Amino acid sequence: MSQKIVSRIFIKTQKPSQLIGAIIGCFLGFFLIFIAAQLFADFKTMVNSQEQSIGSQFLVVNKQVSVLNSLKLGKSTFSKNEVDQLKSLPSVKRISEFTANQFEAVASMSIPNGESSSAFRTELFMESVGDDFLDVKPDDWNWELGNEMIPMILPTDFINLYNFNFAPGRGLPQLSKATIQLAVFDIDVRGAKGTAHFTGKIVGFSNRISSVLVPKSFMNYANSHYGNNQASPESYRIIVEAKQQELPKIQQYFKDEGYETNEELLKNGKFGSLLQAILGILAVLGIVVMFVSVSSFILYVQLAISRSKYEIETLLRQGYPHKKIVQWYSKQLALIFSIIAVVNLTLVFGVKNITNAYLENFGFEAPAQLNIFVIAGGFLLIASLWIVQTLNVRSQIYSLALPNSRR
Amino acid sequence: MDIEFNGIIPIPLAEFVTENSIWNSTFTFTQGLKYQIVAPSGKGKSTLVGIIAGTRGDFDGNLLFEGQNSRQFSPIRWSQWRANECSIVFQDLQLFPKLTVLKNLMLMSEIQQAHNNNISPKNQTKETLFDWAKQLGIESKMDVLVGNLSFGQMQRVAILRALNRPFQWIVLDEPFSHLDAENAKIALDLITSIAASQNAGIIVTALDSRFSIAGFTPVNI
Repeated sequence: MSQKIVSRIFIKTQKPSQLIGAIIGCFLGFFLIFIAAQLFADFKTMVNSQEQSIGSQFLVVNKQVSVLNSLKLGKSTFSKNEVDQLKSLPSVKRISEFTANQFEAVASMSIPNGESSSAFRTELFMESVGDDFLDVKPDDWNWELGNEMIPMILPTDFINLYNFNFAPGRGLPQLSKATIQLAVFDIDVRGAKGTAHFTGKIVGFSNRISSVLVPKSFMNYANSHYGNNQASPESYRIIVEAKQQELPKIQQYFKDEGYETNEELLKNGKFGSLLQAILGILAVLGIVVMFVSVSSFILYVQLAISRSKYEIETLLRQGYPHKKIVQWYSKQLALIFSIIAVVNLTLVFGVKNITNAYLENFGFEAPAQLNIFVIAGGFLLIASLWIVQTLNVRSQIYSLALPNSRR
Repeated sequence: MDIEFNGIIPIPLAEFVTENSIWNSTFTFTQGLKYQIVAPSGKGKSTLVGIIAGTRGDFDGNLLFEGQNSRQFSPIRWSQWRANECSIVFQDLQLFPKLTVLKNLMLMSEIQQAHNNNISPKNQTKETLFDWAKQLGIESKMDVLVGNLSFGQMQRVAILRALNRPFQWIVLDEPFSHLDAENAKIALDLITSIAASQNAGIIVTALDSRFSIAGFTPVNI
């Protein structure tokens, strides 16, 4: 037989509204701290992940162009010394130099236009950079000797310029990325050492690099075969992968050296720091709210015991062991805390899925599962609160169980 | 188990202790005997009950249970004392007003169980409880909430609850104050017969000596 009558006695003295209020308060406190911890854990995972660039910051660096450069009195290329120095900075993970074309390249294409056809023709300036530094990796991004087709990556800004500025003004159709990728155009290469014909195809679009990119293998081949002069020309631009947290240092270095960098991308890097700060604030807020809600829950339990003081004393006076009363409260608390823990983690999981979907829009992939440390920490936190509460209840009931003068 | 008062003076009553009183003297309540504590109000009848019940510890001197000092009792020992050895009817009855009469009585089985006892033969069956209730004239009230009873009816419920457990002592604090003479006699007869069947002692307090009970040893305080 279970202790049905005893349970009934305790339950009848409680006010459900107060209990629910206390549970909701406690629940919210834990929820805030759990969600902050989980998002923080996700964020850290994304930062540490090799594939993702949020922990690193890619910066395209060039020298400032001044009147001196225009007059050809100053150099705007990076010397080997300067490149080595950049490489050796502790805040720099790695760098890659841009290689520009040393030959003339002309792209042309015939566009069917009713019965006649109009052609477009433009001179091309191309660059290549280490594949590891690209933010997109199209499948057909490779070129081998003998290939006629040169894959190319365009800056997203180009197609935006065309679609939102050039095309509407000229009454031309807007083009989607997919449409553009279908187009194949001619590329004629001409240099000191000869000419060649290739075809070009756009295989991807980069947000990171504002340049027409071709595979390094093609650039090296074409420069050596058709290039005008130097065997290994100095670079005008360098892409740097810097450590996220050391951004301010490297910015200062660039400033001191008179280098320019793409500030807009830097803002994206700052977004990471900002996100970290916001999560930090959320965590601090969570801790504060948790303290308040946990304190109020502790007060509620004390109030619940005070409210049942007559019943507890009466049971004790009829010989009911005080330990059993402590056990009863402890069990109820365990039940409440288990519900809080399970519902909380489920809700955190739900919210996490929503934020994951949101982050995916920005190309970030957060872990699908809850962080094991968040789960373990959450249970540990709740279990310790349960222990504290049980001890608290125990001392209150124990004092009632002793003869009055010894209380 | 005998109960020995050894120089006990309740601290609140220290100034009022007189000669020829149980206070500040040595007195032994012997198990199996019947005692009536007679005194006007304010002399400490309820205090005496509280001291025996272990709810009051504000006294000088020693209370000995079979030679063991009550001050050494742990809370768990006190709970065993109240559940299995010494049944007490408090003056304020200490019933659960939101439970029915029957639930108040059946509660004792749960208390026995909480002490890891099997259902004790001294916890009576429902039939016996109904029989006792019938004797005391509250049989029809078994399913009524105790909070809805008159004080006299509640006194009888408290007496039944006290009887529904094993005991060596039954201590009753003004148990008949709201009962008429006839009902008081019926209740007393029930108490004495059940106590006798368990070889238990009885301590009953009453407001004044006019209400002296035959066969009970008077004890002055």
